[in-house]
Amino acid sequence: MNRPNRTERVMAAVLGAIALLVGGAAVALHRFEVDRPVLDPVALGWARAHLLPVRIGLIALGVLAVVLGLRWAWCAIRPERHPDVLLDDVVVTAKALAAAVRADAEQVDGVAGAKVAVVGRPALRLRLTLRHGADVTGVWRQLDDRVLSRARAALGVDVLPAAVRLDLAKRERQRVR
Amino acid sequence: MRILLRVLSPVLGVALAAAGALLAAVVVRHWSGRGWPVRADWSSVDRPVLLVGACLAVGGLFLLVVASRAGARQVPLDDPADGVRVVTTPTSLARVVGHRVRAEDGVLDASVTASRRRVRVRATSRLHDEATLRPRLLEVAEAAVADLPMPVRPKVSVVVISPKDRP
Repeated sequence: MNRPNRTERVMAAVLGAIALLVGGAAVALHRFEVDRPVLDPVALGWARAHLLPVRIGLIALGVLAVVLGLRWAWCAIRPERHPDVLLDDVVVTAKALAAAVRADAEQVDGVAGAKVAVVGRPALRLRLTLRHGADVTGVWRQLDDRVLSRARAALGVDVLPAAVRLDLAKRERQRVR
Repeated sequence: MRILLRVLSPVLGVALAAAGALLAAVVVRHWSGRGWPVRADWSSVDRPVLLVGACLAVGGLFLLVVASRAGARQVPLDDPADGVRVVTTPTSLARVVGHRVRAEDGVLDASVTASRRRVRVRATSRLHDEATLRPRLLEVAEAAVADLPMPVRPKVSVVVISPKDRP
């Protein structure tokens, strides 16, 4: 499973929708040859009459854009954190935990490969590649019975948040020579 | 699309922040008694309005497409335990069904497309016509889907292509 990109998608969709609406309105006004100033005199007059709230509103809008824009950029460029897990007095590094879960996952029948990342304290992200023709339901059942329940027991937690993605490998084409 | 969004996001985010800062700065400047730095007395019929509007609309549409296509397409499976979320991909679902259908007698090949709501099977056969093979394949494909631990069962449809059906 890939790292989540919800913030980036929402921001891109909102900005895209606003740009589409504004641009579409401008094109429509041009198309129907509405000969009016773009900065509508009625709106400008209203803004002049309520100068203080309009100024404060525009500054707030600007600050909001700065905050959202920087947050959006930061979400996209920050490296994903893989925090270590504290077990009583022992620190289990994210790498060690991921390797242990991965070794368990690869023992499951039908699993050809596994990628595990620790993405919280503790929370896991697993991506299992199954062999072609593997019993998906069997893997799904053993995933909790053998892999995640062991991890829960080892970490001493009742709930271990995990996002798991199962990928089935491509079938191997038979070649005729 | 994921990568494109990943690349575009920092650029657009910084651009949005810069635009916001500019807006705030211009308003503060106006507040302190100086005039607006730009005079925009365009009318809607002027050419720049069309150009800027068209660019904005196209750019906005592009962003919407990128945002909608950048999500991981997933087929949810049942949660085996609290806090555990399991998903698979439409391709994997199609492979599960395809594997079972191809194992049937008389099926030369099969192509399967799947989404979280629908599985479409297109099988080719030389030995059987559609009327005899289709019910059997439908049963097999439905059983393959029913075996999976899925909260929402997709609908299955089967088409058989066979030379025997040619008039």
